[in-house]
Amino acid sequence: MKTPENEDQQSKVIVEEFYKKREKIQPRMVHGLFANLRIIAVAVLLGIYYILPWLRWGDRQAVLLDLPARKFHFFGITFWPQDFFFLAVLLIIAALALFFFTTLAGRLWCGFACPQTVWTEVFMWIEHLIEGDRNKRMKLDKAPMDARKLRIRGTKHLVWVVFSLWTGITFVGYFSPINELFTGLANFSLGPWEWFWVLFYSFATYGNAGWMREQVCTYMCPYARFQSAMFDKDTLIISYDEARGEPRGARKRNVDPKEVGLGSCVDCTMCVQVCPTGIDIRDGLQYQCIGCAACIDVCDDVMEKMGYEKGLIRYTTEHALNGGTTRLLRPRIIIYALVLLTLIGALGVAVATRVPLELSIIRDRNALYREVGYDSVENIYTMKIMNMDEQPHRYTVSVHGIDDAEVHGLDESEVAPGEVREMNVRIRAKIDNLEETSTELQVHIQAVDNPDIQQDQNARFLGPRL
Amino acid sequence: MSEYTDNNYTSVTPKQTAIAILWPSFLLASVANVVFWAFVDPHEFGRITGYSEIDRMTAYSVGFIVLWFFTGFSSYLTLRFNRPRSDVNP
Repeated sequence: MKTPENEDQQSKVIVEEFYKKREKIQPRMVHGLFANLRIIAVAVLLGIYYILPWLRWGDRQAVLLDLPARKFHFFGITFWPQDFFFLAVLLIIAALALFFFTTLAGRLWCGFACPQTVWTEVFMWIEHLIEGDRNKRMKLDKAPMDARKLRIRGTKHLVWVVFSLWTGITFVGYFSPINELFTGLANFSLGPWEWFWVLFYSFATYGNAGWMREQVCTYMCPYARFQSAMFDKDTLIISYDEARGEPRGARKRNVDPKEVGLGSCVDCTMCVQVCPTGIDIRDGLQYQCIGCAACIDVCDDVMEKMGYEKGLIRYTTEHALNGGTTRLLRPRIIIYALVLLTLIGALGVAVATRVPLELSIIRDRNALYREVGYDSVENIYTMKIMNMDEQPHRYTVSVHGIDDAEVHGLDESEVAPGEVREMNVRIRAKIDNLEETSTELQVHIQAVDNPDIQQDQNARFLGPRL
Repeated sequence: MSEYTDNNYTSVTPKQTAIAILWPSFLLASVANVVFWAFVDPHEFGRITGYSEIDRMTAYSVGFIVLWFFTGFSSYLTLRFNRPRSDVNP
């Protein structure tokens, strides 16, 4: 019978499965093709991360996102908040690239490039060096706290903290000149926000890579929750070949599995021991799987030792597993690739041909026009010139669209880098030259010292009824 | 009445509730903060609102906290509205 009590009991069981207490995962270290690929990925990505802020470009830091000054230096180019468009396109490209690679080969991002994976990997290397291999670490976990355990644990956390602080300082070095940052750290003269962000990022690194690890992927990552929507039946997934592996079981080496009625899986549980998220890949595709391929490496080792064919766990597709063939070029892939290439090309061209000057011109709405003398009329405009270059410039302004139209009231003094110069200008034209009541004008602005820096804007010019 | 009900997605411990509210709102507040200050210069913002002499780093940081409060409140409402009837009825 269903009583409120046993109903309550039942739901408790379900809840506890969803939110059961985390058991600490101590992954076994793995060697092989994919482990090597990850080492390369970690070295390249972290190399870029830690070295980039130290590169110089001329007399300044090559990559510096100067938030207080609202300037963003990337090697030779300086971007301003007005260039937000570029950032938006860049983010769209990043998202599309994620879609593309996920459709093609599953969670490549998670297994090889995600900062969570990359830093966790380094933290695990440190852990391995100090605490030893998986068995030693598990023993240490169980051991009561004594002087030895305290010493080992203390050393590990100390190294972690130092590494995290270095990471945090580097992070802030992208936003605040890194040379000054180190001198500021040395004599304790950093500003409050710099201190805050150094400690914040260090703490996040230490907490995420040291303590949280796979829980970030399982419980906190939005991508892990929707990545399966990008999969199709031709997407590369890491999968256990159930047809070949089952029935699993232990057996002596060089025994023909068919004779003892077994599949290829020797049930050594190595694939479970190396898994950083603690799952059993033999249970099928699971959203906790970050696609690190550690189980492939270790299973291939075991298969080799047993004298079996490799690839009991391998990169494969749903189609291939079901005996079909994998189609690499499918509409989804082609469309993603085309859109991606177009956007990358467009962004490249847009950045290469970017003019560090912006012009906006708005007609004063309070007045239609003003008559000047017998034969001319004037319109009033608010004109804004923004110098997005790193040098100051002087600009000249000319008007096209009406013969002999003139600009009056220009402030032609030098505009400093990053400055927005706002001015009221009058455009004057002869009535005889007006063909309509409302005429479209082209306003052309040109840097005096550089012919490449120029912009055009359209504006409307109103005159008397003809 | 136990805090566990048939709808186990929404009936979680206070700690998990806090994370479910704070974490997604943190992500979204970060994005919104970047977008907002990309279009609005804190100096300009200070001029319009009358809080002149506003330091840019302070504006970015305070802006983030204010946005986090709003997005957090939205997460909180979602969690509340997602509660099963049996949780709300006495």
